[in-house]
Amino acid sequence: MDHFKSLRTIVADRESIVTEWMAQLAAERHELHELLGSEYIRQQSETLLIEFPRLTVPGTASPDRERDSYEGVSRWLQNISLRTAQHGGSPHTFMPYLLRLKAIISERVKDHPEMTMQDLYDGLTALDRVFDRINHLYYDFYLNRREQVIKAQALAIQELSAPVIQVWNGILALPLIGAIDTQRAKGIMENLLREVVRTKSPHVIIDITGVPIVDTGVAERLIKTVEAARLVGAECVMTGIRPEVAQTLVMLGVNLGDIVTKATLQAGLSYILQRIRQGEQEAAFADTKILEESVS
Amino acid sequence: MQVPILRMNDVLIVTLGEDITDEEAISIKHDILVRIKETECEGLLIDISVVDLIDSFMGRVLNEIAEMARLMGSRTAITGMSPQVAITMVELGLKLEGVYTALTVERGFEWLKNQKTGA
Repeated sequence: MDHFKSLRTIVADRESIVTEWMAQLAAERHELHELLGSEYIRQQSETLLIEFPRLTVPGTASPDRERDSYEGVSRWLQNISLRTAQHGGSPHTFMPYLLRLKAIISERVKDHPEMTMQDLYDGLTALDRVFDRINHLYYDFYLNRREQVIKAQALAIQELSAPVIQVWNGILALPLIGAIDTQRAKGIMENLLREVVRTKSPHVIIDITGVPIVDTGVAERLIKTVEAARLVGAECVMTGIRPEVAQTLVMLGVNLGDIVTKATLQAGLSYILQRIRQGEQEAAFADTKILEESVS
Repeated sequence: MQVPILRMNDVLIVTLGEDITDEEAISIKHDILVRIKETECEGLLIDISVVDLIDSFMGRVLNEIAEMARLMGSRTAITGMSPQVAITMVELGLKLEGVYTALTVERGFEWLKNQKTGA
């Protein structure tokens, strides 16, 4: 027997349910009203009630039919949850609104004439299960949406966090800011190497002034980055090692090996410019020598 | 697969292809050493810009070539390593110590020229 039938007849009285619903929300000055506007809520509430009779009680129909029956409500939930989230609302605002409808329908089931005890019980159970399902769908959307936002932010942070700047012809600077974890270190390394190859820059300054804590893990990742940069053909200078960072590194016994370190970005830049000049002189010297050899 | 070993002035130039099997790697190593002896070149330039995968074996072979070439009086420069390969090498712990690495063939060539004159 379809226990939902009695519910359908009750919900068919749409106008009066919506009026009662809205009146109750208005009486308690519900947050959603202020967020989305009472007119919008009224429209949305009516849409929900139009969709409501199409629903089936979970577990009473075939899975396909059940999914189909909830399609309209799913769409509705998606719209309103998105809109609620955009206006800064949360399940704390949305759930009481939705559960208010359940309370109203329960009340009407109770007052329905020609109800036996059994019918009453079955009707309320059916109502419960339908609303459980709707809640479930709502939370699914809400969490999905949250996760999307978090992922987008993580991506934005990653992109913002390791900009590679070309400071001179053939010199890149990588100012690092904030804590460095494995995931970020990987992104930074890939980003740096890509830029080195793209701009054909043989010199890189890695500035760690903005890195609050440099422990063995961070140091190891930085060393790996320097090594990988050397393999593609770029020489790294590390700058901005603060006194406390220098202390921790020595205390931890971290050996930065052959990595050239300078106190400030400026010192790093002047070191590199000097190296470039030196290289040019060597090249000129080599050229004259080859020339002399070929002449003699 | 036969890899051409070109000579330019005093430098031997080898370009490694995309897929190199372990056997091929060993025969390339052999060929290079023989050519160094024949030509008495003092510089060896290996370009790996088209290589998009280097395993631990190939990494070791590159290291060996550089080391052996050094014993025969020739300096080695490896050029054009792609970021992905560099990351793999670092993860594998292959640092190619004693090998000069450069972004482009041009820079590698420049370095070898400077080494030769001992500037």
